[in-house]
Amino acid sequence: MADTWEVRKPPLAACAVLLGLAFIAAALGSRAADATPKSPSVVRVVERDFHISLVHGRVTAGTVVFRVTNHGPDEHEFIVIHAERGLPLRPDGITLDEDALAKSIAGSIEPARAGETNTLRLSLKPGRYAVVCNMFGHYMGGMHAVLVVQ
Amino acid sequence: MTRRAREFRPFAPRARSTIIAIVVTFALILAASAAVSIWSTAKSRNRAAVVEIAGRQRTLAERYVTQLLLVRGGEQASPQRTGVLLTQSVNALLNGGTAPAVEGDDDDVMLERETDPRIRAEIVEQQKLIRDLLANGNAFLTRRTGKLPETAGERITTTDPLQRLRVLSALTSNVSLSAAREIAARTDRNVKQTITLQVALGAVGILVSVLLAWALVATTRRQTAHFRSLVSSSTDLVLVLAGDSCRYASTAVERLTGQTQSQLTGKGILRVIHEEDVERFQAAQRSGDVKELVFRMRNAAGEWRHLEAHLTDLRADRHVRGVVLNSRDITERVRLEQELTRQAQRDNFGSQLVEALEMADEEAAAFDVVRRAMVEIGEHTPMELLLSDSSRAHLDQTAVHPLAGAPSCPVESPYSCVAVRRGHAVVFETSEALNACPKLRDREHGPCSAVCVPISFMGRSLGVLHATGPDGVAPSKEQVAQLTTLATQAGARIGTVRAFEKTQLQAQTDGLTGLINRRTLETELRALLRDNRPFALALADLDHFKRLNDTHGHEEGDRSLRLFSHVLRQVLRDDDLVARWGGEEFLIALPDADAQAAVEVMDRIRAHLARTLDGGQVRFTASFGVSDSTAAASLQELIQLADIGLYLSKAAGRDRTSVGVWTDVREALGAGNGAKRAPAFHRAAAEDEPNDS
Repeated sequence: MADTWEVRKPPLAACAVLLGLAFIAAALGSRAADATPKSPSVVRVVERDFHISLVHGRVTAGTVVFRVTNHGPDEHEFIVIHAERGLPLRPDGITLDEDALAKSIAGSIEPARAGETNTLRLSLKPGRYAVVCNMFGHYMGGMHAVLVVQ
Repeated sequence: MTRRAREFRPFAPRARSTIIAIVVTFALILAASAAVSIWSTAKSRNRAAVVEIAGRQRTLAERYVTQLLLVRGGEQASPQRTGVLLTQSVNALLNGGTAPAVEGDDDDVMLERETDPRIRAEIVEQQKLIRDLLANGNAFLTRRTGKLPETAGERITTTDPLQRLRVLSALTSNVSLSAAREIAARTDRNVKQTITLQVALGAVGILVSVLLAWALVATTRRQTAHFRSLVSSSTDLVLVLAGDSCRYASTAVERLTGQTQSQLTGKGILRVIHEEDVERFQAAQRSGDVKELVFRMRNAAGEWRHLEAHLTDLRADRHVRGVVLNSRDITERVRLEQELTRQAQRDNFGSQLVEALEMADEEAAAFDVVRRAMVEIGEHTPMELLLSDSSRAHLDQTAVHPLAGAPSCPVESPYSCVAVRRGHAVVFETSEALNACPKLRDREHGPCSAVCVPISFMGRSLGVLHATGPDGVAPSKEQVAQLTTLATQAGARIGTVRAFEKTQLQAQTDGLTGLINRRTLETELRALLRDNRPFALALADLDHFKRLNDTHGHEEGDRSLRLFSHVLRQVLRDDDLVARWGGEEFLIALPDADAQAAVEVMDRIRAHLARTLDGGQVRFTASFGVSDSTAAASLQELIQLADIGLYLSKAAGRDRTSVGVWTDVREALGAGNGAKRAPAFHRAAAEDEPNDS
């Protein structure tokens, strides 16, 4: 009988150890995912020909959720750029040079048709951000706004 | 809803309506599909023009700015014209109308009013931008500064006039592109919808036609089933023949012959047709002219059935390509006809027999008819007619087949015969069978078959008609029927003849003595007188008969009368006539004899009577009076004379013979008148009895 006990013990112990590890890992994981424990800031954005309105011009750093509604009538995109200084234009002098800004672009929403609402979830560090529509002529036509993350 | 019993119309072209429905459905679906195609193509063409114009705006906006710059640079250009084109085009895009041609590029294009609100909003936006662009352009040309209109919601972030123009141009261009893209996308959607609609229409068409085709098949099948069940349930035997072989045999033929369709088709049909009919059968279907045909077909039980066929030549009909035989089984009719023919033959035999028998006025003649009838029934069939005698106790062979002889049945009395006992014809197929008549066994010619038909008349059995044949072969129905007819008719005739003869005999003879009676003798005597044949008469009277009667009884009296008549017959010749004249009187006529000869004969009679009575019976004597035909002319007078002789014998002491003479009478009676002689004599005779008793 003693043999049986010897044989059974190791798997039971292994199961307990594994369960414990899994628990710890889950706890760590959730903590890692939720670096900022508070609920994310929600920024409502309204786009229309040819300007962008932000309901909140200031948000706290961390996860920022943009709810972008295009009121049209034309299509508009939505780009969030970390812009402490001025923004560079392409040689045409009309559109922003997105290539030069590649490192500063925090996130974007592809052109959306009038009436659509899209959500963009970003993790933003404190700073000054520009939100723009960089479709041909739109930026220069007035589609830009400033968001301050504290 | 109750389902009403529909009229059964197997020939109604019901499939036609289904086919019409299929065609109409297809036509409708095709028409709808074509309409959708035309409509969507027209729409697409219009859309293509719209897209083209919308796209052109972008180029025009850019061209406008370039022309402005050229004009500012002192070059020859017409930005105003481009501005007009932009304005006219955007107006046409929005509200319909003519989009003007751009120099060297294209032609005027007619546009429809835009209806899509989303696209309209974009075009309105474009309209505003173009207005702003043109305003800025004019300001640029005139170098005018100040607040410029921004009606499309833009807030241009530069004040440099050229930069502003470029931004507005870019916006116009972008918005135009967006509108063109939107219009193209919607056209794509429309095309997609059209394709979906067409696919749906096609699917509906296919579904409907499948359903209708199924209905068509079902209708055709039902119609076929109607005909199939009509044909298969019909008792008509239908064959389709082509080129000496069978192409189709109906279910009824299969049922009749017990053969399958495959066995019957081809040459197989000839196996079930009677070999005598095969040639006619083939010839009929080959010629096509024969309309009716009677032939025999073997059924499943191996019997030949008579079929009557109606032929229809449908060799020219490409659906049949053969001769169609519609046949009916007429075996029963044929049998009935054969039976009627046999009946007629039998009736003929019967009527001939009746006529022949009617002509037979005595038994011997009837037997002769029977013999001839026997030959008629069967030339080589031994037959015999066994009839009972008057005692009805014995059967005698009365008629035998003149050629084939008699079967010689050993039966002796009518009631030993089973046919007589049963009262109807009995047929034995073989004499060796357990239930065969024992009288058929151990015949001279060995085992045989036999028919025994009882003969009767008025319910009384007369005998039996007997015939034999080869062992194991039952006589034919016709023979039995003819024998029965012969027995019935012969029985009736023989019975009638016998009854007639008996009646005649009873009328002519005296019941007690068997002698002829007074009337018969008178007829015979008148015949003798008429022939002038001489004869003698003797009147005999038993002496003291009344006393004998009274003493020994009437039976003894009757016995004496019979004994006396017997003695008379014994002594007299065959030609002589003797009759009981009444009571104990007898009248004897002796042709070709005179009175003297008669006296001698009477004396011999008296002597013989005396000898006969020697045996101790009641003794009696007789007295005789004699006359002959020479003594008087009339029979009455001759009898009176004999009477006178009798009176003389009585007067002289009886048991003697006297010849009657007229004088004797006158002396004896003292009568002077001849007319009174007879009554006088009779009185004397009457007086005799009491005196003698």
